Formats: sequence, C-alpha cells, structure tokens
Amino acid sequence: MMLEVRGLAKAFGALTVIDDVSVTVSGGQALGVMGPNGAGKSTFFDLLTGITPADAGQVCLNGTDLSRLSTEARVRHGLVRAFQIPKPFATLTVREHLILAATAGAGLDRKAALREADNVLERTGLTGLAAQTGGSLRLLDRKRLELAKTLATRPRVILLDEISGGLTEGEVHALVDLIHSLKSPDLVILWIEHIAHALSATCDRIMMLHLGRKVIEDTPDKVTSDARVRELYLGAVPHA
Amino acid sequence: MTRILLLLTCVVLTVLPFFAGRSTLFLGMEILVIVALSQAWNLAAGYGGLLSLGHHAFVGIGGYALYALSRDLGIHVLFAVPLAGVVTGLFALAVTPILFRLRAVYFAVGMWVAAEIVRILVMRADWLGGASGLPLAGARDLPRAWMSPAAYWMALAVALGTTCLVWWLMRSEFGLRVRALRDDEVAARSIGVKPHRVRLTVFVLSATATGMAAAVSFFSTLFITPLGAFDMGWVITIVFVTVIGGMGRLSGPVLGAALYFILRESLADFGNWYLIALGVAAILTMLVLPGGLASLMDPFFNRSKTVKEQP
Repeated sequence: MMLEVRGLAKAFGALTVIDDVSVTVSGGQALGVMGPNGAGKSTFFDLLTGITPADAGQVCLNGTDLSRLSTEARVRHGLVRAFQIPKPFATLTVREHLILAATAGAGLDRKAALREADNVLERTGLTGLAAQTGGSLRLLDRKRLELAKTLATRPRVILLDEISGGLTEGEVHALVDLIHSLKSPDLVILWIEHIAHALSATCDRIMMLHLGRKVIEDTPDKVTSDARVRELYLGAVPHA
Repeated sequence: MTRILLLLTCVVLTVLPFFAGRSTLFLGMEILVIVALSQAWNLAAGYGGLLSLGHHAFVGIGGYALYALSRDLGIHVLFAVPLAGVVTGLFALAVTPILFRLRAVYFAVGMWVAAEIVRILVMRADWLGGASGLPLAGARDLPRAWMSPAAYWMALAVALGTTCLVWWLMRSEFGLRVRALRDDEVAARSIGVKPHRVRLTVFVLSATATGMAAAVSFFSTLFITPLGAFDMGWVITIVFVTVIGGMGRLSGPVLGAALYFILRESLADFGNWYLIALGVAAILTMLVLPGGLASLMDPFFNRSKTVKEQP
C-alpha cells in the first residue's frame, strides 16, 4: 500500500491555500499533519478526497491516479475521510450508518454488510448504541461513529481530521489506543491533530504545514524539537 | 393490530364497487389518484429532496400517452395505463441531463418551466389534437357498466402499488442511500454514495408512478385537453396534500388527501370557499405541526427508530 501525493496545489482567487505539497506514506505507517490555524490542513484533506477540486498535482494510490475521480469513486478505491465536525445522518441509526458505509463504500452485499457492521460496532465500542439515530448521539459517540463509518468502508487510506478535538484527556487516550490498533500493512493513516503528544504516540512521521506550504516532514522527535516548528507555535524565540 | 386494520381497509376498498354507486366510485377514484400522485411526489421531494413544481408535466404526459397509445397502436387501455407510466418515466430520464444541473429552488422552477414547454408543444401538435384535445379511442369497445369500477380498481392498484413501492424502497438498502443523501450530501458522498444515480432512480420512479396515476384519471374522463392535463392545479393539490400530511412520511399523502377531500366535499356548496379553507388549513398545519398530520400519529406507534433530534 502506498499513497503518493505530488505537487498538490489550490488557490481561491489570489489566496494560495495549498502550495505544491508532496508527500509519500506507505502501508502500516501513520503520518501526522500539524500546523497553526489556517495552515491549510483541512483543505489538504479536501483536495485528497476531491470534495474540493485541486488546481494541480496528483494523488496516487498504489500507482493508480485518483486525481480525476469524484469523492465517491475515491472511496471505492479506499480513500476515506473522517470529518473534523462529525457528520452523522440525523435519521439513520448507528447500525444503518455502518451498513450503508459497507454497501456503498466497500461494495459488500447486504449479508456481508450486516456482518461487517456488527464487526465494526464491536471494534469501536458502539454496539450498545446500534439502534440510536445519528441525531441523538453525544459528541464522543458522534466522533466514534465518524471513525466507525470510515472503517466500515474497508479503507486503504484513512484521513482523520482532528477527531480528538473537544474530547477529555481520558477520551483522547481511548481514541489513540483505537487508532493504534488500526495500524496494519494494508492501511495508510493521515491524521490532523493539534494535540502533539497524541500524534507523537501514534505517528511514524509528522508533516508541518504553514500558509499552505510544507515546512518540515520528519520523525515526531525531530519535528517537535525543530526551531521553526517552535517558532510557529510559540512565537519567535529571541536569540541569546 | 395495525396490520389487521390495514388488511381490512384494503379488502373493503377492493370490494367497494359491488356496493357503491357511480358518484361514490368516482370520488373514490379521485381520492386514490391524488394519494398515488402525492406518494409519487413525496418520493421525489420528501425523501429524495427533489423539490419539483413541475410534476403536472408528468400528469399531462401520462394522460396523453394513454390516449396516443390506445389510438395509434391500438393497445387495450388496461395495458396502455402501465405503458403510459413507462413513457412518462422515459421522458423524465430524458430531461435529467439538463434539469439535474439545477439545485433546490432552481430545480423547482426549472421543472415548472419544463412543464410549461411541454404543454405548449402539445397544444401545437395536431397529432395530439392541438388545443382542443382528444377523445379516448378505445372507449367504444369497453362495456359501459364496467367503466367506473374499472377506473376505480386501476386507481386502487396504482395507489396501493405506489405506497408499497415507497415503503419497500425506504426499507431497502437503497432507502438508506436516499435518506443519507437527504440528511447530509457531503457525508453521504464521503462514504461512497453516488448522488446522481440515487436521485435519477428516485426521479424516474416518481415520474413513472405519476404518469400511471394520471393515465387512470384521464381514462375515467374519456377526453383530454392540454389545459386540463397540464394544469398547474395538479401540482398545487399534490404539494398541499403532501405538506399537510407530512413530507418524507409514508402516511403523509394518505392523511393529507383525507383532509383535502373532507374540506372540499363539505364545502362543496359554497363555491370556491374550500380553497380559502385549504389555505388556512395549510398555514395552520405548518405553524402548529411542521411535521404534518403524520406526526400526530407518532405517539401511537412504538417505534424504536423514531427520530429525536438533538437541538
């Protein structure tokens, strides 16, 4: 499994939001994506899934170019995203979400989809809420459902957009454990997060974005100790 | 309990022609046609989010298809009715490449304009009798006594058929896609739902059912004119019935049609006052019961899936 992003770019009018970003992540690896507000992290994911069309660049999965495909076609190829603000379907039950994801996203038949749905419910700890509608869930469960939906599509690349935002410390730990358990040679993980220790614990590499450009991409230790990164997050350090 | 009641209702409705007089049967046929038309519109607008204000195009095409098929191809009216639905569905399929480029309110107006264009084309077509209309060609061969029971039964079949179709569709895996798309399109596409394909299916099915119901209605009148067939009044009635009854609910069109005909029949002696009563009823329902009359029934059904949205 190999995700290759080459020269991805997007401008809204005169404002360049993603400027020539390239990155390669292979199966079994998790890439953390960091950056101050407005760095273009979510837009980067929008371009990867194709919900916003890119001006230039390529998104290739195992050598197949997905750049010209629609969002829903990319899902069929295994490129799936969990949204920063969870998007549950208000009138569908939790189990129906997963059945839908398994049939529409993974292309399973009804029988296999039911099995897959129960399987994912179990893995994400949502079994007890299977009959509740998406509109009636509290925040943590909405976040878990957001992740569960992407898992039920049988993803090969999973894009996690600040899924731990708004959660308590304990809840973040539970989520990190869950994501850690997903790591496998058949899955590429990209994860946007502000909580540095959560990223450091799970990710093999971290990419830092600033004003749409890639500032650094390296191991978590090197990124968190990098002077440019500290400057971006903490402000300029006066020279001694 | 509910099942037994539903079954009993169906049986009573089926044997009604053996007891009822002609005027009752005609009214029954009218009600069933409106139920079928409203179910079909509800499928597109209430479930599919395709807010069409041009469904009278499908009414007119369904009606004219019946007349043209039975005259030019000599098809028996009983077979021409379902075929009229197919013709209407094909027409719907043909206009989607243009109309599906429009969204929400633009789609609504686009449909309306499309209906006007079709009406004008039909009025100018000598082959379809132009502005003065057409008589039903095959009518002479039909036994006179069976005309109104036949129309009634066909209306019953189309109304029940459309209701069952919507019920079955919404329970199926396809129904999940329709509902997901209505709830949040971006989220639905993000787990692989193809919006165009889902909308196309819903739209064509809705048009087909509309065409069939219209064919039944114009079968009973034995004559069709462009003004009557492409009357905006069709879509106004359908929207009224569905919105009052409850959009996106199976019982909505049935309850809405009941209220519509109760008001119309009880105020029949007062001229057009029933229109004002309908308007007042519509406004009151929207203010007091935004979910329509169908939401009144919720407390009586033990539904684990009843939607309770978080504010």
